[in-house]
Amino acid sequence: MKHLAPRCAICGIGELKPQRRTDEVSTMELLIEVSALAAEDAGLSPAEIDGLLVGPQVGETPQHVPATVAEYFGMQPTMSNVIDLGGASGPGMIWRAAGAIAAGQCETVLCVLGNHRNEDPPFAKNRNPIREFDVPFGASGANPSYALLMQAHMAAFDCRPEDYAAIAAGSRANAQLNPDAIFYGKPASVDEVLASPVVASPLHLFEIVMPVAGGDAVIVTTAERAAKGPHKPVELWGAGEKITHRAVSQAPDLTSGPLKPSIARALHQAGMEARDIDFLSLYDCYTIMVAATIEDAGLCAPGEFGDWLNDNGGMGPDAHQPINTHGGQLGFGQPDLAGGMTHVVEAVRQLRGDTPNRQIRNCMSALITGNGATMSEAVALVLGVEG
Amino acid sequence: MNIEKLAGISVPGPTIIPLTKPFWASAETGVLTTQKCGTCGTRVFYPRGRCPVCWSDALDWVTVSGVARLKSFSEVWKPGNEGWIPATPYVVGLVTLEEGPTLLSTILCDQVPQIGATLHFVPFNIGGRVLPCFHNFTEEEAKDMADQGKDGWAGVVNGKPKIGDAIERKRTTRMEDIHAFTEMTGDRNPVHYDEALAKKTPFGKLIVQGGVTTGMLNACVAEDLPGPGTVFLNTNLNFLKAVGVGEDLTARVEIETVRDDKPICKLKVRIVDSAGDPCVEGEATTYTMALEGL
Repeated sequence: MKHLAPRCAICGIGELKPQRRTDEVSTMELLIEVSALAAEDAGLSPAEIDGLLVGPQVGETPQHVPATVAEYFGMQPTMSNVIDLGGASGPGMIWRAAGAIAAGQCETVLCVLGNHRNEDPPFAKNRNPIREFDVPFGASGANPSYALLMQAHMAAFDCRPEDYAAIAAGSRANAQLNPDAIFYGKPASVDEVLASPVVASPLHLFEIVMPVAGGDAVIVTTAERAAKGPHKPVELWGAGEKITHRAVSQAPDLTSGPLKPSIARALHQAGMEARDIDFLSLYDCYTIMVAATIEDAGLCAPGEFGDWLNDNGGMGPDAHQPINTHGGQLGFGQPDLAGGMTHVVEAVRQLRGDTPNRQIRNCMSALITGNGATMSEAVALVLGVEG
Repeated sequence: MNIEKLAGISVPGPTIIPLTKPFWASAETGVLTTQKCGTCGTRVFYPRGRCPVCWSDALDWVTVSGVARLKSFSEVWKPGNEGWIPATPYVVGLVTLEEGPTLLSTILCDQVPQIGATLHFVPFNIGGRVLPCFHNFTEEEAKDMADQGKDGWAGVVNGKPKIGDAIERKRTTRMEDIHAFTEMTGDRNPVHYDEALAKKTPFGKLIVQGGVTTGMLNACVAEDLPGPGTVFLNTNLNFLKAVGVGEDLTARVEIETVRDDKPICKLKVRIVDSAGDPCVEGEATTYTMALEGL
């Protein structure tokens, strides 16, 4: 018989005995319990599982659910997602798992759902490990986490504050070419960046994105349909994804992140080297993120991003490898989760070749990075246009 | 950093669940612990339901030395949670225990520390909760700091009382009380037994032993305020009116002062009869032992 669905098979199952009531257990305890049963049934060790599909965790973890679960499980998946289809989530996971496997995103996917029935409903919207073990010590929000990453990076490689500030200044300079940018008309020099207030040492205010309202959307279709559209099709040439942790205390490395393997995989699929990419559209919630990404992409040795940026001629459209020509999120503003999509949208504009004011000459390829939580959730894409 | 401000800030505490409680409870008493996997030997922090390396459920609690190395830090000037503002600038750090795991904590220090510095665990009061913090002070400085930051009321069943808290207990005296007290103490004073004789005394009636009356105060402090675990360190009582048999008494204790570093209170105490006349009035000092977790 001919099957049209993506080819895959189920090799392990686990199930917990239903309980009318549970006593103050976390969802995570139940999820790891049932996952261990499924892994045992499949004869697989945790390290052999590289995909993770989970359900929403209302009342415990509002965001970053896969990273929170993966960290708890000690997993580092190359594909993960929350499937939020109500009662259809379980079956919905199975064919998404098959699709991910067929697409080469991963080989073995854990699909897991579970819930407690504790007496008292949760009193906070957030009751997960990072809330329990980081927040009570004064580390609320992303700033302290990135400050810790930056301090470690600075100390490990003796980098100067000016090197990081140059990324903020370069982003502000690019924003002067984008009338939509929140900092359009508001450039900032390296000195001005360093003169802005310290929020969490060594991070200065201008090295941190400004939260804004906004939105970004992208439509993906088949190559055939795209060819019939009004624009030059922008093709996906390569992709990579990795989660390594959620809380900064659990990071396997403070100076290099999961973007390193993600970028390597995306470039490998595209058959390219980082130095051949025409446009670098790099996720930039903080200056340190761009610094670490330049190094994780292999454009220079660890700690040498400052010199590399200098040699690159800065970040503008005329630089050797232009970076974040829309201003980056540091210059454009961060419309929450859409902030990451601004890097895709700008790459598409540059690859189409019709970016007003700031078009890069002969832009045929772009590396786009996305980053989540504490330099812990990473996706890299290589997009390109045929010459 | 403003270490002395930490106890008084109002900030979110840990969202403790039964699985994680041993870590917090033990840290509060000055013993730092992590889980250790009995199957693969991994030291596990934060606490989990299963080992994150081999998914074994053979996890035991083990004590760690509390000696750590500073992996990274940040001096926070604009906190994400407003409650921390009075303590700014304060230092948070990633702390790698010599046994392996890394945790995030508040770093207690006079000056901004260096990455790689040796730190020591200290239970410290942040916002009224004793949490596992780390410091780079000398042993002597650390001892002072531990005393200063200690929550003397940790583990006390009814928690720390507030100034002005008060409770009352009522009871009617009985002839059996006199017999029971004699049984206990050997006090066979005729004013408690010889009714004819007693009538000729200034009391004009049989009276109960003073201990029968003041015993109500023992019940007040042990049962209600400050509650289970409480003993008297001192009482200073004036006996103002004799108490006869069959009298309805009301004992009242009210908190006058409360110490932060030790579970010690001063109380105003008073016992009145049904006419509202004070029979006993005075002051008491109590110590309330932590019974939780014993």
